[in-house]
Amino acid sequence: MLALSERTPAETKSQASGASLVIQLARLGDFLQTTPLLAALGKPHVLVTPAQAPLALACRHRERVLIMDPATLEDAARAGESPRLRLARLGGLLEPLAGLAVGEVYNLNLSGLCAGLASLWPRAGLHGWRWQEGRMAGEAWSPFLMHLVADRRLTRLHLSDILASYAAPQGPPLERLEHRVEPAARQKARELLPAGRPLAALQLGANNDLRRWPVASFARLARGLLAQGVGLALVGSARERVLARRLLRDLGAAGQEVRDLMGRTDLPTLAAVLEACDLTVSADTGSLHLATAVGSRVLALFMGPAQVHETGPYGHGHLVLQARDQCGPCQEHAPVCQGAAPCRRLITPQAALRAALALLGGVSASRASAGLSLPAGVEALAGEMDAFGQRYRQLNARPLTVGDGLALALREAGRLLLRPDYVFEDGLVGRELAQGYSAPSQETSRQLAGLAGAAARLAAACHGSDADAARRVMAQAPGLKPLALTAGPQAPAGLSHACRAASAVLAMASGGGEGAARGRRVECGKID
Amino acid sequence: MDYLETNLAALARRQPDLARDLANAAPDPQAILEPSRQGPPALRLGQIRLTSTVDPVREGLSLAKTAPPGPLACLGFGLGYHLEPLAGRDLVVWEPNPGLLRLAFSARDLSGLLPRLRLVVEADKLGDLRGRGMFLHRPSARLYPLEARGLARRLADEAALGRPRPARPRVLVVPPVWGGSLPIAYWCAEALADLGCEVFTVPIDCLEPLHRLLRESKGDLVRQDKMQASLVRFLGELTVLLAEEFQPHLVFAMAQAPLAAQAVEALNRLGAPTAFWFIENYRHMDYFRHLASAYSHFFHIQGAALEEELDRLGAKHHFLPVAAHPPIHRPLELSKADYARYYAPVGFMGHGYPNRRLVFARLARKGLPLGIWGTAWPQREPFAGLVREKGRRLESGEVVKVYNACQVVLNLHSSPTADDGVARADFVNPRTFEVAACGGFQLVDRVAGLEKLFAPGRELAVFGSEDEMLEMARHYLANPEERARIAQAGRRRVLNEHTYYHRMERILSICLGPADQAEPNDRARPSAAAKDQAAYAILHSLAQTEAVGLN
Repeated sequence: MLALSERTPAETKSQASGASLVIQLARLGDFLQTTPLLAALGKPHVLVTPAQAPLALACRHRERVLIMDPATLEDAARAGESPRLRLARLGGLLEPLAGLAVGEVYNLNLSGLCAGLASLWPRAGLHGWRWQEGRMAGEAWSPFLMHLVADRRLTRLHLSDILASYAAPQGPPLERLEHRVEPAARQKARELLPAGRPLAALQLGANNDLRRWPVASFARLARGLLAQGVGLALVGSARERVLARRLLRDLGAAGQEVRDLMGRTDLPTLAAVLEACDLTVSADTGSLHLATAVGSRVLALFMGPAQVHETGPYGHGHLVLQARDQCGPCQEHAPVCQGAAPCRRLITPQAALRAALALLGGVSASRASAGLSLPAGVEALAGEMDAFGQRYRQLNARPLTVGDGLALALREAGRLLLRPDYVFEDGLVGRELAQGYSAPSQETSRQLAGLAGAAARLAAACHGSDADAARRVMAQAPGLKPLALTAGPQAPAGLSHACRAASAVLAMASGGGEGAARGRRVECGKID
Repeated sequence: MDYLETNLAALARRQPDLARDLANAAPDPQAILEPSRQGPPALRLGQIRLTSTVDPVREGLSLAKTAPPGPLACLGFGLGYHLEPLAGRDLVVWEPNPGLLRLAFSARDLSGLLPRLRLVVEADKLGDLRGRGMFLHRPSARLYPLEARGLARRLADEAALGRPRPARPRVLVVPPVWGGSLPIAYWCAEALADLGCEVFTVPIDCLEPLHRLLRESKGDLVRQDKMQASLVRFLGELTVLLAEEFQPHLVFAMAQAPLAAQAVEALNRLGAPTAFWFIENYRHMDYFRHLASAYSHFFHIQGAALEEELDRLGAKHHFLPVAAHPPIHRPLELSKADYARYYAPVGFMGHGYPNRRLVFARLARKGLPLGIWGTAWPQREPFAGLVREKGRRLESGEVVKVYNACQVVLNLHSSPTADDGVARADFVNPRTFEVAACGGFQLVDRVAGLEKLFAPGRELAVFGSEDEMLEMARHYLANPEERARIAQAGRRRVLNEHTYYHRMERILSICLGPADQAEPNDRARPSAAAKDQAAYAILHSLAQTEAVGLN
């Protein structure tokens, strides 16, 4: 399979002329996480949901904003009406889009509906998810990602960076997500917020209770912040007001000082409120990403299905407390704990308070995490940007595990697959290993060394496009499945190099980061 | 000799109720029985002869020969001469005058005929006439021209019901020359085309500039009316001419279409059903009385009071509220310049009817941040500062921008009487559907029938008084999330039930029979328009996969 994005320039020329169009019909936060791609593409048109539209309109990296509610397409397609009527209804919703001149379409959503939408421009080049011979197909590297996220403990590629990779940028297109705050919204925010003291926004809710820090914990955090003279604003949607009521009841008289803005701000005003705050404390939510996009610092509290490496706060300087039970990150709709979610109580209010006060004091995430008493199962991580994009530095050093080594190896392999221009520098990875982890146990070291050898064999198999040999390696080293199952005639360019980079990382991990001094550079297309 | 008892007994074997009614009926005093020259009795009603006065038996035989083959629906009993030769056939005979029937029963021995047919006096007892050919007793048809027209239309309709809808029905659309229903006519035409019809829209609105000269002329009104009549006659004849060439399966005329009853009759004679959509307030637009029964189907937007009137007129009528057109009425990306032009915290777009002037003036004085677009608004305060775009008429595209830009869109149904204030109309105006389809948040007055089309409070906000309107506007201005939730639910309701696709499908179903349940494959062809191919792809993709977010 030759992905359309890999067409030669001559073939690309034969496509319809017109601007690029990015289809992003997922949640609010997903639009913000798409802004690096928009920046890399240079002002494409965007097709977004009505809920995302205010964000898109305020984004400077887009041309036109087209609005489509996917639920309306689903309604029309699934209605119990005659096929003629259903098709006419669908056609009526699609008609305003069909007239747009589009040269390249980037469909970011793994959904048959969005792939159907992408077929509105049959002469355009298609990137991302589309229908191909009756099946959903993505980029050549998509199978690697799909196999990678099957075990989410191993994912170290951030969604924003994956999305930006559609444009194959040479480095991160943006240092943080971006949202432009309107002056009128800024004025409204000033009216809503108390003036003249450090301000923190608390986002109590999340789209799934498994991701949500308990209200009682938030109440203790709030009490501590208020006691230190920090002004507080509660942000979130009207549906989450019940959480605000519980928190305010818990706070008693102290709650009178808290500005409850839940459900009382539209998106532009919410953005301005977050911009005015010195810190936002939130789980994995749209507000969290909006806070980073307006330049507010974030204390992110991740738990349940939330995985910081996938959707953590994008940019430098944010502090993340990631609670991870043995089962985490779990499946959103089928958690092992059946909703009991013991991981939600792992992050203590005391630790969150101490970290929040330190961040409000202007210290780095690394210093803010110093001295935090974190129980087993909670990691402190600092957001950092590197030559590819986002990564999170482990702040509370612990012994390296096989999973850690494998995750880093797959990250570097993935980066090489996603961006042909990415340069793998083992020195940097070696330093990361050395700073974030203490030396692995002997057994771990032995296993990592075994994986390093397997990855080297996999590189040889991939070099010869020998899918059978790759499967045999996978049988011996199941952790390498995302790479092994990507092998074959339709493999992405550079798979063999990616496997060699993975092997190098695993070898370093086996030695506890030793070997980094060699400073080897592995560039796609230059290693062999 | 009087045969009444014998005949009533024969009739009673099959139709005892009718036999009882006829026994109690009085003979028509104007009807006269007299012997024909050949002897058998002849019948006339005043000066109208209902049988031959020379040889009624022979006349009956020759009339019977004109009957189409198969089961028959016959108008007119006369003295039964024309029915006796057809006694072996499946016969339904409609004689609207019981007094004449009673006389016929007295005049002749019909005991051999009566058990072999079904006799009907009241039209609503005609029952299912599908598969019957029409047989007119010509002298009776002269006596009952309206009934003859009604029976012909009914047989045509029922024949159409029996037939499957053509795979690609040809629909002739007749729009008005100008006015609010003109864009709706074009949206209907688009919807019909998207529903697989071959549509020909008579470009009547090309005459709008000329028509404007006429209606804005300061000349003699009588002369203007004459010219208007000439124009209507010309456009009617032109439409018939075009219909003869196009051979439509359905003629669809929109309110204010310039077709007189004669033109509609001529279109009916082409054999296709004719439909009229009267999207006006019947209390102020009474022209419908001259047209309603001429059309095969009369669609309207009002309730029981109008339906009683239509029943009296003998029209075949159907309630069909207006709707929105999704390609036009949709959420838009507005430029900053557009926002500056079309934004107000609380906006209204429409004609300055007296009740609206009264209510909005009071609301403005109470400090509601109101912006008004549309025509016929006074220049004086408080309107001088509220009316935007110099009170000019806005195009459909601009109207959609107003509905998109304003935080709260007011919708107050019109009344020509200022005193009505919040008028409690008995119809739902197009604005109700259009604002919702745009994803706008709407504050609408409580009108009869609204609750059958929307869930008040959940899909749009409804007020019952001026005070309530003011209070609700202030509440929703302060609660953007509630506004957004209601607007989104309203849009989905419109898209799911109240589009011109739905309305046109209903008209097609009523006029041409139910839709084919098989999937049309013309949308999947490479030659099909991109939107049709994408629609097809989406229809199929949802059957194959469930949406999955990447994260």
